[in-house]
Amino acid sequence: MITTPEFTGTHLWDRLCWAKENLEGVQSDYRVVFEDNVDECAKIMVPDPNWMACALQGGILPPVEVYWELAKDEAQPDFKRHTRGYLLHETPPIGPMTEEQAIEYLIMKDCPQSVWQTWDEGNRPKMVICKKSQLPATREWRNSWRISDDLDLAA
Amino acid sequence: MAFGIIKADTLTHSTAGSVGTDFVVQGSAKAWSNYTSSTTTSYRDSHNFTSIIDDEPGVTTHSFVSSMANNDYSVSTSASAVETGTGSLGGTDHARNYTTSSFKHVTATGAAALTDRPHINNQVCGDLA
Repeated sequence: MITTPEFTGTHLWDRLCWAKENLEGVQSDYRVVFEDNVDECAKIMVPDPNWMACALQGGILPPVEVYWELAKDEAQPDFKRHTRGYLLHETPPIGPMTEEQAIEYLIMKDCPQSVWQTWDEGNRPKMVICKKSQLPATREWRNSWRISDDLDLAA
Repeated sequence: MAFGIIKADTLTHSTAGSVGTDFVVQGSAKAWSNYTSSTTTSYRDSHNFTSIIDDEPGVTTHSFVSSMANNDYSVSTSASAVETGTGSLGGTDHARNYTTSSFKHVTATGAAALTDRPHINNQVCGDLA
């Protein structure tokens, strides 16, 4: 396995360029199905293969909390442009993750907080991690897809 | 494994003149992807994205690894109704919902109905955070 260079202080973009050149993409079999609006169909998050390779390799990606900080800045009414982008580049990168840990990271980065912070509150789950094979085989009635009420969450 | 860095403000050709490296940095795509939303939504290849979200037929969300500095960046898009051989799109596609962390890519028929496409591309230019 190739060794990740010491990337602390290296621009995140440069780290991604190194990863693109040196790491094989990893197509994850995991999918995250979530519902963030009762009037809309379920959404399905698919990890990017190059990002997954970075997550498994370690030493490349910033902690997910960095993205939360930038999201807070962008939520300010007078936001024009990020002034704390250095958080992405100067925060020491995190170590290697398992594929499952990477999916958790991705949920906390790319899914709405209103979904993952309260996914199991209410009458039915708002979010489910599943395998690709557990999704419908065709996109027929895609606009009507919902998380099943018959989930065995202990499985 | 060494991580080589060359720092320069100007690139000079022996006869054709010089160009500032800021032109190269500013003019380079900061993210790109080639993906499908037919059958199963997934990237074929990409750069600087963490995930693609299949929101509904014809709508996908693309999230950046290295965020953009502001939401005034440019997204060039294209979509094909056919995977191989001949055929035309007969529709439209565009980006919307720009934030510094993501944007949505929408594909539609000529009658403006949202629809999936087998071959979709986008390129993002702008300033990184």
